[in-house]
Amino acid sequence: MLQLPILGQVDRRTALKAAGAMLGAAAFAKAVAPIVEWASQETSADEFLQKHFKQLSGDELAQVIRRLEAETQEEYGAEVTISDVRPQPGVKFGYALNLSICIGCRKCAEACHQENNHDRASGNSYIRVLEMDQGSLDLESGTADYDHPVPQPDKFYMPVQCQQCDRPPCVNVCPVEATWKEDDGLVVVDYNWCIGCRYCEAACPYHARRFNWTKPEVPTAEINPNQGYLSNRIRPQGVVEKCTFCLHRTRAGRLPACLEACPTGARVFGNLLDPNSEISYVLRTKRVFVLKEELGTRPQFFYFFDT
Amino acid sequence: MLHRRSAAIFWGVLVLAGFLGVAAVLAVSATTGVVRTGGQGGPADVAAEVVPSPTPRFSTTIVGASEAPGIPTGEVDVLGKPVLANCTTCHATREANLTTREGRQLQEFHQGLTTTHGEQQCVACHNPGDYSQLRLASGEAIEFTDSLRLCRQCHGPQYRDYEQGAHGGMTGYWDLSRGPRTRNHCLACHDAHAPQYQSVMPVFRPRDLPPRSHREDHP
Ligand code: HEC
Ligand code: HEC
Ligand code: HEC
Ligand code: HEC
Repeated sequence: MLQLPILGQVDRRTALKAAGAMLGAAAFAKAVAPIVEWASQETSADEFLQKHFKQLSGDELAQVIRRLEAETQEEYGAEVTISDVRPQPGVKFGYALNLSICIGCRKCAEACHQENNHDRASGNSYIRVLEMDQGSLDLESGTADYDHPVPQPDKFYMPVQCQQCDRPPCVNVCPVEATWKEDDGLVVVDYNWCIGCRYCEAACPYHARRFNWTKPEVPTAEINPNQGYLSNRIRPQGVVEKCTFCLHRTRAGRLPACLEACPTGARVFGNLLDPNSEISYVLRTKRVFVLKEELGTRPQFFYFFDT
Repeated sequence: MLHRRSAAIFWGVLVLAGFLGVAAVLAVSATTGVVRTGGQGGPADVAAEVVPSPTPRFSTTIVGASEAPGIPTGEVDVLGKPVLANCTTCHATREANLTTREGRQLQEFHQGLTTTHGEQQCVACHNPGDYSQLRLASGEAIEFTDSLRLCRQCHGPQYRDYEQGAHGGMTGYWDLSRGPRTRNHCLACHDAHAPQYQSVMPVFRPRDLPPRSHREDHP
């Protein structure tokens, strides 16, 4: 049985991380070198020497992005634009899902797969849709690979993706600070800094993180060229990735791909800080709940039933 | 995009394709007043900071409303489009039957119309004085293109959610100060006569799950 970290231990872990940071970047790079080597045979010197995202100057980031675009051109034959849209002041993203409306068609999971340039062979997606017994809210008892007409009369359907927690256990366990929470609430990963240790994957109570076992394969024609440095750019092998509420779209004012793909209108997205937004309306008028509230993770993803 | 409603109807003799297919588009203004119902229960910690709503500069378009209705005659015009018979072609000379409430009762025409929408008479929605129009409970006749008003009078809670963007979905921009939005009319998802949302086969079966036995060890 896999032991999920207990939240009370977060402090100790943070302390350890701070101690680790004092070793200095060079010592650290040396320590992780074998892992990096294992994770990607093709790591270029530039990539390896790249600084942490938050320490990159504007020029340096532009240079990194140009390099990544060129690599995508070379390895995947696709011309893509990688952007780094920053959080907008006054915006904090929230997402809500109406479980009385969702029929479990999995169109959201499919749209995620396409939008986020997921590996085609493994059929990866940041969304798992669980078929659950009416009356139960036990995530672990849901089935994800159901294959019959939906909705079934005695079931309901619960899509689960990153909950963008305000107290994200995944962020706290990262030994190298390759994952963090941004000002608009989105939890992101710098794929070029991630060492692939997968602590975060184990720490997430929602099973929302994914590990790239192989170099993602996406046919050139299917590559989504609208990419974000911290979101859907094609990830290197051996790193962890996750849902970012499609920040390359949502920070530009657009709706997430999974919401647009939903044929039933079960999903509601928007700015929690705007009292007139659709999401604020839902929080004000519906009896919303969050998953595994007892863990104290403070998800910014809400569920509700129409009653 | 969503013409599920047609699937629910079995028209014995008539070909419906093309009739329902064309979506009428009406543009409505982007925002409406906020309904404050005082519902409690939203988590207290979410909106610590409150910012003024951005001014919506783009509009919302609703697609999938009914067009002015007609019944395909089976003929096509020179452009290959089906020729439609106006409702009034037949009904102008017929006394409306105010008691009809089920598809099964229709013997002479409209055979096969499925009605699973409460236990309502046809004229709860159709205007018996002029079948090319609908009629509200108040007696006011309205055009088919205006059918949102019809649904609204009996489904207040869903309509309110819809108006607030919490029922019926959308595409485009969450931020209307940066781009427009498109929404579906009720009829794009709900057939007027058999409104329950139809069941479907799920797509995209996950392949990245660990095998079952393994999964039981690792919930
Ligand atoms: C080809 C002739 C014809 C056309 C065109 C036609 N109807 Fe009818 N309709 C009939 C007949 C005949 C009946 C009676 C059927 C029965 O009771 O067996 C009927 C019955 C009805 C009824 C049931 C109540 C009543 O008065 O009998 C409604 C409602 C109705 N039609 C609406 C419409 C609408 C709306 C249209 C246009 C979209 C339309 N009809 C077009 C022939 C027609
Ligand atoms: C809940 C309101 C409602 C009731 C009750 C209702 N209708 Fe309708 N009907 C509509 C609306 C709205 C449309 C337009 C449908 C569209 O465009 O999808 C319509 C369309 C029609 C049409 C045109 C063809 C079509 O389906 O688009 C016919 C014919 C018709 N109705 C007959 C009937 C008959 C006969 C009955 C009773 C057995 C009936 N309706 C009951 C609301 C209603
Ligand atoms: C005159 C009142 C009336 C009007 C107008 C009306 N409805 Fe209904 N609707 C009902 C009733 C009654 C029910 C049945 C409720 C039940 O069975 O519990 C119902 C049920 C429904 C349901 C749930 C169906 C199910 O089986 O889950 C939907 C969806 C719906 N209506 C949509 C619409 C739409 C869309 C319109 C506009 C075209 C509309 N209604 C207009 C009265 C109305
Ligand atoms: C994008 C598709 C979509 C649109 C647009 C839409 N609905 Fe629905 N609606 C659903 C789904 C899915 C359900 C849940 C399944 C069901 O009950 O049929 C639902 C449920 C309902 C119900 C039944 C609720 C219950 O508790 O049984 C009503 C009534 C309803 N909708 C009315 C409306 C009205 C009125 C509009 C337009 C203002 C509308 N809907 C627009 C998808 C839609």
